[in-house]
Amino acid sequence: MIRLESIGKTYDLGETKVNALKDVSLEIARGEYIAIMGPSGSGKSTLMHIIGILDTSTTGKYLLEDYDITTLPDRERARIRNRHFGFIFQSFNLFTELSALENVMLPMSYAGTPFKQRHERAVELLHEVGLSHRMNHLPSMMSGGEQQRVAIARSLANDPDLILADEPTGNLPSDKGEEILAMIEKLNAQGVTIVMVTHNPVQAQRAKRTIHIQDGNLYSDVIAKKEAVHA
Amino acid sequence: MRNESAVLVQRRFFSRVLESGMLIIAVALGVGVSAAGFALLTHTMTYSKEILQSPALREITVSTRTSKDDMETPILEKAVSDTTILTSADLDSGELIPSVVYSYVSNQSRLHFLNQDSLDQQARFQEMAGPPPEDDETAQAPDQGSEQTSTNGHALEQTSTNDQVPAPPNPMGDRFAVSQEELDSAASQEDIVIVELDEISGYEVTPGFFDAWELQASAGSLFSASDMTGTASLVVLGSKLAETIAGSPEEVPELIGKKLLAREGLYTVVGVLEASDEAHSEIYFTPYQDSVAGSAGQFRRRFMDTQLIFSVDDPQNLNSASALLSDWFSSEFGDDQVIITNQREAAQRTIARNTGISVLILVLSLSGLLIACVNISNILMSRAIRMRKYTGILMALGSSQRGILKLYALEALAVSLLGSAIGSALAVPLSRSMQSSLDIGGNSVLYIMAGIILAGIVTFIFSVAPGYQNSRIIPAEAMRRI
Repeated sequence: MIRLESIGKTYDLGETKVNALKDVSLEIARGEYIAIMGPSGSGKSTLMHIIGILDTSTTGKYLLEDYDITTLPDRERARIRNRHFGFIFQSFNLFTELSALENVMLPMSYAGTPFKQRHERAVELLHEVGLSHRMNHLPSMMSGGEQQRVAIARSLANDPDLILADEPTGNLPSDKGEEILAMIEKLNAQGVTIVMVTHNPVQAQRAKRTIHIQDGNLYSDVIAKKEAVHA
Repeated sequence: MRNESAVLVQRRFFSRVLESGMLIIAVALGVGVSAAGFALLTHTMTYSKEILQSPALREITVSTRTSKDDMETPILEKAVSDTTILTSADLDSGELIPSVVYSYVSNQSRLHFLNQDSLDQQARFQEMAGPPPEDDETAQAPDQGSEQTSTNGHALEQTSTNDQVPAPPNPMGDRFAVSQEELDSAASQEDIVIVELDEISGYEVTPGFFDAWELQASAGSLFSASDMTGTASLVVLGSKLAETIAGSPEEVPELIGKKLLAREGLYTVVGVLEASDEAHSEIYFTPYQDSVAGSAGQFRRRFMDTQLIFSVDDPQNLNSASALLSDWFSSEFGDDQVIITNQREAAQRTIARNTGISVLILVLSLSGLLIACVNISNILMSRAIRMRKYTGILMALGSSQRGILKLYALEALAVSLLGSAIGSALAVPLSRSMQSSLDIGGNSVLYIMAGIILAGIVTFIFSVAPGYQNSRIIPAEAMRRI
């Protein structure tokens, strides 16, 4: 589904240049459940941003379904993010001025879904994550776990092929974190590809594949307990 | 289609009422002041251009008044030269000057109407003054009309002679008194109109006046050369004056041929000017006559400071034509017997002054707009920076840079439109006040509207600039700030 070829990312900070990613090559197949691990500043968030087309690489090639999207214009990149990817963030990132329902409906408005349809879809998604009774509540009225469930519902709004989760349980107590993780695993079981950044080795072990990043390099890529060590 | 991202911006806007309100007030002040400044300058320039196109500013006036300041003042109140008498025959001097295209005589005059009010006033005055001496005769004022006819159709007796120095004007202007019975009799006659006005002002002119000002009659006709020597008192009315006298626009044509009863005599309405002529809509015109029937008319000319007007083809020829006229009149009457002047130089000086003041006001008001815009831009930039987190999330959810820009533009548009609407309420009185203080007439509403639109656009550009800058951000850049 996604193939990264020799991806490099350099941040130009004036006199100094920071190489956040160095010659990273990676393939993500449809239906995979990947955990990305690494210490702070290792480049795992940069990698996730590049996979999610939230950033561009300095070098290398990004192929989505064998189509090179490296040089696509902003509008096309936005369309791909909207139709194919869903994002779950550590701090939920819901819009505080919008209700749970409106937060879930928002990505569908970018897809051009008519109001009635997106309303129905949002109601259905919130029902799936167990928040039917919280639809018209503002995020400030909800617990962290509930907010993250709204965020999951939002990420599913346009039936994405890939969900990128950046430490989705990082701000939650363990029992709520477990609920969220279970939801993510359920989605993967339904065929949605998951790429999750985590610091938690226990959570990483539950993924089908674990990638370790260190100093911008792909340190290890473990698939079904088989370790492939990269130089 | 209802859009959640627009709802988001709308709720954020209204959740910051104080900040948003301050923004709108800043826009209103900037737009209001600059629109008024813009309107003042543009209106001054166009109005000045119109004024310079006026036939009056292509005219040279020759008069025997003792000073230039007296040129447009009522004759009875001014000293006059008793050695030089100008007549319409002196208009021939214009034929010697190629640049002079029209020439005419123009003298200010007034008609005092006889009606029930004037009769009552006359009675009160006579009561206060007591009975007149037995040998006292009613004095004939010098600028009186030529045809003196009482309402019962008999010619009034002229009591003045051309050898006598006239008595000072009666405060009542009582030159042609009528009794209650005569007034009632006149009112009953179909061809006489009792005008319910006290007095009206106008000009005695020769036919060249209508040619010079390109005036046409909407009803009846204008004067011809033969009317200058006739004995009948004729009058041409301005359109609004005719409407006032007739009572309604529909009844104006019926005035033609009717006689207006005035202290100066009975004046037959021969024409009404077209309504398009605003400048002369509220005055009247009677034919100028050098020598009128009866001794009183000849007597009158001695005290009548006739103004001769010479209209040139091009304003640039005013000075040369004035010089030629000066030579001609000096040769006819001697040096310094007439005053030759034109209004153009004074008008140009006034226009230059007004334009300079208007430019200054515009620069100051634009400075105000710029200061307001910079502040608005700074506040909105600060808002946009605070919104950067939201920008990143919206982009992650599928918004393009253009979509983000639209959201910021929506906010900028709301601020600009609301501010401009309030600013327009400020601009209109401000502009009128400035116009009034510079003595600039005319309607500048269109310029105010143009000013508001331009200032609104400038404000919008400044307001949307921070949004544009923030919409260019890379999503990950915004996401990293989360």
